Amino acid sequence: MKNLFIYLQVIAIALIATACDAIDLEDVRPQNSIPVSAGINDKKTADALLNGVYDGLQDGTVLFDGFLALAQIYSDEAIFTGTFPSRFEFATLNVQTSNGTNAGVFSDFYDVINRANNVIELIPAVQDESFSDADKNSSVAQARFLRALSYFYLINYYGDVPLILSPTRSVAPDVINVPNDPQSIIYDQIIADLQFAEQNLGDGDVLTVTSSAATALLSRVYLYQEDWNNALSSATTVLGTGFDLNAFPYLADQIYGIGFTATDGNVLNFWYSPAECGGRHDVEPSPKFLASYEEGDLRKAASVLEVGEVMSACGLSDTALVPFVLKYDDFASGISGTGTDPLIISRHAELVLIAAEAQARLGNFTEASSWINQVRSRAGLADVTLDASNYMDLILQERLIELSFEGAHRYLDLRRTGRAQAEIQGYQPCHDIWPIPQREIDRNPNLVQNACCNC
Amino acid sequence: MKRLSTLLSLMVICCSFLWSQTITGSVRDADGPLSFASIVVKGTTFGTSTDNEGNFKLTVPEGATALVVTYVGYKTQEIKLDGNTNYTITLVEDYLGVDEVVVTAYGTKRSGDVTGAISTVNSEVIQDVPGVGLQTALRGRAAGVIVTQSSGTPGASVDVRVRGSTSISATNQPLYVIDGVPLISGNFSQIGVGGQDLNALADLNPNDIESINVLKDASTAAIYGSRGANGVVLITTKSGKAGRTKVEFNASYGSQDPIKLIPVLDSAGYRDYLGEIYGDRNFFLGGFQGDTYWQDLIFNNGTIEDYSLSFSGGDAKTRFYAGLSYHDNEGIIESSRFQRYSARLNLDHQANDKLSIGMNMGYNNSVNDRVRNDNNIFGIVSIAILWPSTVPVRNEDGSFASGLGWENPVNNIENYDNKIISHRLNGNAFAKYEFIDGLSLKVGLGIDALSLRETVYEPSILQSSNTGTGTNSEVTDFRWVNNYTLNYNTNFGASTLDFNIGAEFQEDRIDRLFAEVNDFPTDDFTGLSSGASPTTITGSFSGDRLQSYFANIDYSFADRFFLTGVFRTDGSSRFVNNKFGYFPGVSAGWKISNEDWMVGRGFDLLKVRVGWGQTGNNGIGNFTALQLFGAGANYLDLPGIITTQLGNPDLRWETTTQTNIGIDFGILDSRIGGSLEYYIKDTDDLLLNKPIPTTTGFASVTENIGKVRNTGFDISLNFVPVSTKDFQWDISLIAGFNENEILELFESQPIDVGFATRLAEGHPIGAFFGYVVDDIYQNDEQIAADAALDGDDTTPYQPGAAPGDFRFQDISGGAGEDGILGTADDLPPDGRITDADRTFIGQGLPSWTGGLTNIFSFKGIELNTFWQFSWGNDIYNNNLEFAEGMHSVFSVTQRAWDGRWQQEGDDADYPRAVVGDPNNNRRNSTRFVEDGSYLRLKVATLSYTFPRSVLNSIGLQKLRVYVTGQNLVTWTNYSWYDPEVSTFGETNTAPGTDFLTYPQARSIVGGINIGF
Repeated sequence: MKNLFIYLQVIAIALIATACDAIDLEDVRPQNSIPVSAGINDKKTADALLNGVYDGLQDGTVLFDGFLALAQIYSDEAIFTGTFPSRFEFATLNVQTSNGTNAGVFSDFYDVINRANNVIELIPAVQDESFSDADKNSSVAQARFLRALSYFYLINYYGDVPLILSPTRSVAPDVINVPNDPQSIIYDQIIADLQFAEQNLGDGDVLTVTSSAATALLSRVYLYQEDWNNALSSATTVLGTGFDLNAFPYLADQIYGIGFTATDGNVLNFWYSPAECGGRHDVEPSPKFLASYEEGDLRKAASVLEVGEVMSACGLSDTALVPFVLKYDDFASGISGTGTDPLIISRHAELVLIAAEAQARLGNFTEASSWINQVRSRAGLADVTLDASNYMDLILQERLIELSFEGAHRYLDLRRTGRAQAEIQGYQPCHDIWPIPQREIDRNPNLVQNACCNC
Repeated sequence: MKRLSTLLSLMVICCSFLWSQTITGSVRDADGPLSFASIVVKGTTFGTSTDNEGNFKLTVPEGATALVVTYVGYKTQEIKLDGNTNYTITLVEDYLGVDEVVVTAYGTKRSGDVTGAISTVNSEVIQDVPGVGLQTALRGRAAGVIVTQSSGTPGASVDVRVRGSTSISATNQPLYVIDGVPLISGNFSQIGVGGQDLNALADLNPNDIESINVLKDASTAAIYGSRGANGVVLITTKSGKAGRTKVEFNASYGSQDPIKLIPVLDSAGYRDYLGEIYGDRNFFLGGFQGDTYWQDLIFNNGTIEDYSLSFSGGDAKTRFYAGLSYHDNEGIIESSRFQRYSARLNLDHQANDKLSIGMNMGYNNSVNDRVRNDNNIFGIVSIAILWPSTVPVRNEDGSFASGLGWENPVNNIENYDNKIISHRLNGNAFAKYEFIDGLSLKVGLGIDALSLRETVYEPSILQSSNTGTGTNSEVTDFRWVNNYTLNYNTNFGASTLDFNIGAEFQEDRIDRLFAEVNDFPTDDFTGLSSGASPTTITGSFSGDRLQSYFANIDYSFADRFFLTGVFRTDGSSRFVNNKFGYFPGVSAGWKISNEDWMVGRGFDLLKVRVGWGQTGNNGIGNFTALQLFGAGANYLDLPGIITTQLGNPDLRWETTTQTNIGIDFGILDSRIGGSLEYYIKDTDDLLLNKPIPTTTGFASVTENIGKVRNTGFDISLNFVPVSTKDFQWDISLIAGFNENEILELFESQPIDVGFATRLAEGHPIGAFFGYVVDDIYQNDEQIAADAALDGDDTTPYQPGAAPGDFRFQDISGGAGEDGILGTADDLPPDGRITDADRTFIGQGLPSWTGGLTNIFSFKGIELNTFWQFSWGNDIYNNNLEFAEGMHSVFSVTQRAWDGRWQQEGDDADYPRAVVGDPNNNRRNSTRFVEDGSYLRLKVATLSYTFPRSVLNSIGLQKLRVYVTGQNLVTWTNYSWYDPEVSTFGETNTAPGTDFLTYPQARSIVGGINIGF
């Protein structure tokens, strides 16, 4: 009996000691995350950190709504045929400050910026012999390009927004409550970022940011700033001398696009294509857009499918009941499908059209005509002759058709040329600026709402 | 050392009982003998139970002073052994249950001695309603406990709130503890099917439950410290009793059907609708030639079956309970089904008079066939409502008709395959050693191991997958818990003292694996290896640890004064700088009816209780406090990492401080009795996601901010109007009143959740926020007049408005200085409809809930009706945004179509039908807020228990046959399927929302209970 009691005591004490030991409260850590203090400490983690920035642009809201849908249904390029009330507000030019999709686009771009800022801050300090300074600069340059791309969209949609150039590490008020910065300052930063990228990047495939990709975006930035000489010079830097667009089939002239793989597919065809192809068909080419194709335009079959045409693109022999966008046609597995269509950011054709416009703006109509006709001849259309009275109409028409559904081109073109009111029904000057999401205004006392409608 | 040997010699002496005396006797009540009454020698575990004739025979050890005789529903009697060898014991019915045993975490006490707020539900209640789950057994039986079955989905989540909602982002569900082992609860599914989550507690077999005790106030729940803020549900499984071996067999079988269907347009009506809004009767889906009433095709009469078999018994040294059961619920949507197989073995053994050991082990296996439901464009109910009846089930070529990209409901039922197989082992082992009389140490080791495998195959015939999609997911959660409790109890004078100290350690390890593969050669190959394109493969680990120390003291004096103190400290791996939290509780009671001066004044029981305590809530993510880089942000199949979480090393528990005041009474021979309790419950340091500017790259950071208050009353009343030999009528009323208010949020900023729910200071959790419908515009003049309201007639009052559209109320011109809508400084109306014109338009949480039970028994026949009610809550009926939108090709309810505005002068309830809804008549508004109050006959059971005379002749102990119905009658103004609904399941913040939810069923079940 005595022994039993002692044994029990020993066992109880041993068990308590074991349990205390096993129950170390410090030692529970997730497997897919590491504390930030563990940091980015070699080339491998640094590369992964850079991949994370690209990944940010693949997010559903920024990808579809941010780059494509909202601007398309806001303009005369597309009509909205879906159900989400927040997109409906864009289609009817009645965007409320509470619009959730708008808030998603705004925050997703800043998410990319914060990811890029992490790369820009952390990578130069990485100590790893296998990681050369040139490689580090290349990583930083890619991040600065992606940051510039994000800011470009932000200022074009929202006007003056906070310019944030370092990663967020705390929630101290002075860290998080950044005021609006003037667009001009942000444009300067975009140009500086793109120039850095231009100088520190080499060549590569179209799914990686290259030096040409940086120059191409720089050309667009100058065009928007009406800096015709720089726009032209950047465009021709990429195109080189003796460039002929006809060397590439339509859409095969990509300079940079955001890529997708089967394990990491996108939902672009889901939103554009109709039910029969497994899609939701939220955005449909507008009747006005469809009517603006010239007879015999070879680009049409690769861009849209009209009512009555056979839906062979998604493997069906039925005819389409609704028109739909065909630029995202990786229907392989329907909705959950592989969705590997890239999101095109820049193509050579855009630079050709920028060169045409810059030359025309500078009064050089012969050169301008020669550039635009490269695009037209590839499309199987007759040449045009640009002059002071017709150039803007013809260039905008060509941009509309050539670059359709590849971004926010149509909306931003109409806006920068002052034609939005003429072309978009119900458009008022205040529609030039989308509301900064009310959530942001509420959370950040230093942030001021811009002069938008409903604001 | 000397003291130790003294102690040991004492023990040796008291171990050597001398078996001496055999006594016999019988136990009866006023009407006759009671079989299975328990007789135990006081202060020991030696005992027996009575036979069919109420007789017993027991050998008692020398020195035995008294027998304790207990029988469920009767007052416990203590019989002094005075040297006689034969005793006739007459028990008295205990209407109030003051002698029932109440489980209080690490111990038990008599119900009449309780000083905190504890509700008890015992096995009869659970057993009498077949098919009832663990959580639904609490429904309407425990005052202040609101149980909401969020849908009719078999095996789906059940929301349980004890005294209101305390938290916004941590959990609001109580802690469940079975035989001392905290249970794993919640949803472990990794594959979403729409709205309805899984319920890990559905795995447990209710037939094995002896009793459920709910610790409602902080003075009792503080013993569970950091997990006690939402109350604690203590479940005790059945154990054997010394005596004859009992065999029980229960079987029930029944059928269920939908309570109602929603009338929608038939194909002719739908074409009229198309003709009106599109100018083309055959537009789009109108081109189909079907006439299908989809709801008839998806709902069926599912069966419910339940079988259980148990054996229990034992002798003075060893007792056992063994149970087996099978449960099958087919639901009312074809292809949904929940089956559960369970086995349990509970053993306890008295090794010698010092050492007792025991083990309780339960294994459950459930198979759940799920359907896609709720907020899901492939959901069965969704499509059955919104797809027009012109669409046939099949095209002429035999293929399933499709349209809108939605899943044909019949195709969905026939071909979507989603099976969840769950295994669960739950058990504990303990050893208890009594050093000296009154001083004992108990060591317990428990586990709860859950493994869930989901296997989904979507064949290519479905819209959702053109080439076949296979998904497999595996989750295991292994929890072990180890505890040590040292108990000392003693009597001195009129005082009794019971003292516990203990330590408890717990660890959870959760591993997940998920894989999705596309491109299968044909639909005959459904294993993941057959698919060509893996699209997603993920795996993760999560876990947490708890290290706890606690103490508990119960003191009572002369059965008049009671005092209880509780203290616990918990250390959790979830927190960084504040790992340990401290939780005290104290309560006192005064049984006035036992005072000399009260005797004879008409009170059988009069007791006041008061308690105070603090509890915590750590129900947040395991790693929320850490600042993290996360992997998985891959690009082009190369690994990517990003900063995923800002973290907050200063996080700590949510703390709930609760004060409870209660009074218990019994009068007229306890024929009328009950309790009334008042509580005030303040939760501070809410773990809230503080929204931060997203320009940081993050949407929020978790901080301890915010306060919520719950105040309320719990009422329970028992009344026995008639009690004669042949006829008895029992009434019991349970009611809970709760008022919830958010006192503080981060910078007073409201938080929007769900479809139309807004959390804001000064309003309860679950308030609905939106526009107020004023009227319907009859003509252009009204619209023009409104346009001029803001002083500028060129800007519209409501862009897009035309005659037949709703006019919304102009409530405010802006949020004013504080930037927050719905506060006193809102600007005056500005003659325009903007976001600022939204206001609070409803409330998802009820103010009164409860149940009324009436039991009429006449000679063996018993009619038991249980009415359940909910009052004061609204439902946000988001179904109507689509089913009554009348703006697109979606089908339309008959009432909206018939009631729409058509021409000037129509006094219509519904706006005009118009493509695209340019006025946005479908915006969140009072249009979709409906009164969700209801009174329903939840359960009605008619049963017949055969009398003992018959049973004796056929050799049975018990024979009862019954028929029971659920949800037979409901009075409500709610217009959709059913007012007992929650699209968001166990949501903390957006209760009372209905969006295409799998509706509740009405069922009729017949059954039999046989005891040998």
